[in-house]
Amino acid sequence: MKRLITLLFLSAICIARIFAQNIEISGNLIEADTGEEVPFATVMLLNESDSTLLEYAISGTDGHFVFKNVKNRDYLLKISHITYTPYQKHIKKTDGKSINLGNLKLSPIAEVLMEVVVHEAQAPLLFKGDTVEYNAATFKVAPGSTVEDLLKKLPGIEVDADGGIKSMGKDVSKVYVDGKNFFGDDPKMVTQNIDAEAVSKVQVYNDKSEQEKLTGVKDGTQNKVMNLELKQEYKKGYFGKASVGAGWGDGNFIPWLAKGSFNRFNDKYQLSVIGYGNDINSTRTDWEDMQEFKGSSAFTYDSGDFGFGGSRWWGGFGSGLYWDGNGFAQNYGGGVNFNYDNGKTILYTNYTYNQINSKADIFANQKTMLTDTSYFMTDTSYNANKNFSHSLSARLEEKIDSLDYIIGRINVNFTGTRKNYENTALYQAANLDLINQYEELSNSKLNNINTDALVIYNHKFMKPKRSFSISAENKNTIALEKENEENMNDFFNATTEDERIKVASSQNKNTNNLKSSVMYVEPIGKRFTFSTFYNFAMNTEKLSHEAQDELQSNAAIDSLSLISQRDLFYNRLGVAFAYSFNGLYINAGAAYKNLQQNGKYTRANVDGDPLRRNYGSVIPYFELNWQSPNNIWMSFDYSYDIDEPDFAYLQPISTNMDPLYVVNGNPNLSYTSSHNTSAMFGYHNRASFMGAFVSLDYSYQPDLITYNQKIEYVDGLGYRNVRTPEIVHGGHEAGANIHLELPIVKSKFTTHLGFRYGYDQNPIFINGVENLSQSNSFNPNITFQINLSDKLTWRINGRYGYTTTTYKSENYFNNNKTTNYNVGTSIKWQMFGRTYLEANYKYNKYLNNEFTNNPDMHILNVSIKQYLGKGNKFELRLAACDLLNQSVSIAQYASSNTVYYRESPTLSRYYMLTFSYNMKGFQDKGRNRPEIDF
Amino acid sequence: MKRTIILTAIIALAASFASAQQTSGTIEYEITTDVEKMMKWFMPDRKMDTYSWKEEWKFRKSKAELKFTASETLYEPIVEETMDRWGGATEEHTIYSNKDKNKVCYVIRQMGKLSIVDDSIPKMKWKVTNAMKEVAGHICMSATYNDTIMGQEITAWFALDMPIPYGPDVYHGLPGMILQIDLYGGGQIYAAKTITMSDTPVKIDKPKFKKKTKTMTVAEYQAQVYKFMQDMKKRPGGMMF
Repeated sequence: MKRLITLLFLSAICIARIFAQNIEISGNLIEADTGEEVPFATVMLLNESDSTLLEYAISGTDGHFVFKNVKNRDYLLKISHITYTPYQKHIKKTDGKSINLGNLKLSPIAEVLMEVVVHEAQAPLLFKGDTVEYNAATFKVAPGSTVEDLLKKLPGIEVDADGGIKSMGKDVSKVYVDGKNFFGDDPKMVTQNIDAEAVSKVQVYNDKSEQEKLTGVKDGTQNKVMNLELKQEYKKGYFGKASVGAGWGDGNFIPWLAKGSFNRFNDKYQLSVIGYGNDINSTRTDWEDMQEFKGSSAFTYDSGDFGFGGSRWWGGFGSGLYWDGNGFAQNYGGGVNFNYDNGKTILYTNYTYNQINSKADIFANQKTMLTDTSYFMTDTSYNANKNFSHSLSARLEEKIDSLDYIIGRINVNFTGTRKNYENTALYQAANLDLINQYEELSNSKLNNINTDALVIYNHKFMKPKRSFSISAENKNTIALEKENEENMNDFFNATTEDERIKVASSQNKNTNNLKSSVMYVEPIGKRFTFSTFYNFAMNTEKLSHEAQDELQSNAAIDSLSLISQRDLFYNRLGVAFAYSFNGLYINAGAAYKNLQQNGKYTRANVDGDPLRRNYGSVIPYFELNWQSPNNIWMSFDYSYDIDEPDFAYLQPISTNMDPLYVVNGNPNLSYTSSHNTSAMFGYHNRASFMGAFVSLDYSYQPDLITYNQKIEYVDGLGYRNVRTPEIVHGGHEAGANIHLELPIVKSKFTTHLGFRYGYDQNPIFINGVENLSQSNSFNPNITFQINLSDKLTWRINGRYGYTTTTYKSENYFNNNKTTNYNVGTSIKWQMFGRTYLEANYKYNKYLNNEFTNNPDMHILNVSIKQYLGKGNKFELRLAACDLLNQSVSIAQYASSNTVYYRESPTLSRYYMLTFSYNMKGFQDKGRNRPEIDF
Repeated sequence: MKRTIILTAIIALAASFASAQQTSGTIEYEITTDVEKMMKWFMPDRKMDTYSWKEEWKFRKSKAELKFTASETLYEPIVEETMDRWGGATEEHTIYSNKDKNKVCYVIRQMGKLSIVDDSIPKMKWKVTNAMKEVAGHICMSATYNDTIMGQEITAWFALDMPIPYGPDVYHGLPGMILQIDLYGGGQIYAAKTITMSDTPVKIDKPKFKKKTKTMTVAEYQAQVYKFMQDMKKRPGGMMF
């Protein structure tokens, strides 16, 4: 037997041992009650002071153990065995040559406790002398149970009818919570009042009596004491934030903001409320606020579209309202969110309301080039809009068993738009002679009711990677619109009277989209999978439009009245093979796609020509991704796809009443097609922080739709633009993107270099003459990020944008060049302990060779913030925005045969003082990255 | 009743393990990274809210295998058969030890850099605690190790019925096979899933690398890891795992 013991010795026996006066330690292990020998116990010699393991041995079948040739010193002997309570004994240095410990009595672990060790694998059973610690998560209790119910489940603990607690037969005199007294000495106060859910650990230990604590003398009284350790999230399962701010601006503008949120959560549910309002053009909800408000559901995107190429089918309507950045906007909103997740059922629900009131004056210039001349338009408009949205959504995910889950989602959304629009457009010939002035006044009211219901079911089979999925979705939109529009065309060389139109129209549009997908995936070997899928969609749009001439005693206007129905059927059946192993993923497949369009309309009780179109094509798909272990990844993909032409292109049923823009339909159009390919390369050295990213994409459109524009001078009207869609061939689009991250001094001085290049080439038709527009854009940018110290960060940014648009045949088509450039710099400085200064300056310049005004602006923003209170719970911030009072919203672009420039006064200089409170305490974020924009 | 049967079975199994003289076999470990805990551990100052993390993003899992004989061990990751299009290639992480020759060899890629360690077996100072639990059907005792390089306390669970002083990754030197290792305050857990003992020694191939490759000592390697971590903490944007 001794041979076995020797065998099982670890051979790491120090050489030093040979020289020291080494000793032998031996003993016998027996069971306390029966006196039976205990074999196969692990016997360890630990360092007495810190329990470091020094030597170990295994007891033999006779329960005997021996340590030969060990240092003569103090030890802590420790014996552990799978069925005995750990045993410890101090061994003192000896004067002799050996220590025989004789019989050491081990006590078996109580069977109830043993079960904890064996069955509740989550629960390590921590022995502390003769007491133990329980991990509460291991013991399942019904939701809403109290600590008392939990205690009743713990092995070795008894709770009697009166709520008295016994541990291993001894009374528990006190219950602490997180080591602190909880409502005095009565244990029942705790056990009957605290939710079992909140407890992470239950510890039972022997406490010294009050007398012993004072005197240090043992008085023989033994108190069992229980401590309940609360889960982290119950310690602080809520937080809230609130900010209010007000100030002054130029004119009578009074900037203000108010926002607040409160969040209550634990490991199962989360309830949040949010509310906000401001008049400082801040219409987008902060991403961080949204994430806090929605919790994990902020990351949930469901798509019932299976198969390659992703989904393009009527992507959902967000509740977010859009504001174009012109003028002044007030923003209000609020919502409630409730999430529940018990691991099996996950429920997300929320209701939100948003409203944006905006007002804008917009000034625009446009030059239109024709084959033999050109003309100008100068446009002044005033827009006053109110947009609001109520949105309610619920999502339920149910894990039926380990192989099946089902997701159901419902969104209901009500949006309204109220618009007032006044516009004056002045047209001038190339020699700046006045031609005509077109005025428009309109107000409209649009209400939309959107509903969307989606169900996804997924089944996995016992065979790994084999799966079946099915989805169904129905989206419905009812749009009701009422509009009053008045327009007047004043022709300057008047031989005719001014043409004046005043129309009241109403429109009712119902769009319904029903779609469904199924997919089956079958593994082939370990690295291949085969999948097959079928997608179906049916889109129906019913529209009725009526118009009355208010100048002709509200007579119906036949040319503007319409009843139409448009149906689109989409079918796609495809297969794909995928290979995936160790960083390489290849997916190749093909599908047959069929599109069917049916349209019919009635105008003034006369049926128009019905439309029936049917297109089909095989569409291939290829995708490759590779990620190497040495920080390089690359991807390549190719796809070919076809799309149907819009109904609006096919049927000549416009309800536009502007006499200067006439849009015709072209029922002979066929489908459009495109070949798309992209490649990407990335490298990031995680040690040096050097990074490089390159992406290239190219798309070729064999068939695309463009308007054939017939622009002619009509006497008594002005320049009239008549547009007819045509299929043209040979559109190209290419782009390249390069980004480099170059650390010059690691984590102190970093340079980012970026370059974007874009090219597109499109055939255009002006007055029957085909031309080719080619546009090139270059956008280099550079950023230096300098962390001067932990407290001061400086960032410099420069960006240059240059776009040229050239025409193949240059008769009257001037090559156009637009240039935007901006440079900016920002600092963030922790001036004193909790005082921060942030400042940024930006210079923007806009150049355009077609117009004489080349505006520029200097924008300077400065703010000081001070954290206050314990844990930085308060923040006081004084901000000066646009100190130089130069902010204007500007846009310019060239497209087809027009060059366009627009500007709109927007929020400029104002000062604001904001006071905020955060229950969690504020944290200075982005120490390393002051933002260029506030 | 059922519980008692299982309990008896485990104890019986344990007894047979302890008495049998099998010293060779294969253990498959599952490595679970709790991204949130890991972030908390590396960046304790940064406040994060648990509720805003989606369950499936919280955990990352991978597998590794430990082969051992009486004198040699080889620990290597198991390349996953994933169908994830963004699944990366498995990084090299091979650890070989030979007790008779007192040699260890690591072939580890970290932060994209491949390091090769060729050194003698480092000593590990374990402190044995009093906690017991079951891992993969074996009753284990816990021991802790103070990792001064990373500033963490590592907890190991070693089987009381497998008197073999090995373990996953670089961890070894306890009276029983290490079946579980808890790192970074529970941010990363290596837990044995299957244990296969073998009557004949399993085949162990010493890791191969180019002769000319510069090797480093365990201490040099640890210094490099420390430096990586320090740089990482300073990096704008923070950690990547």
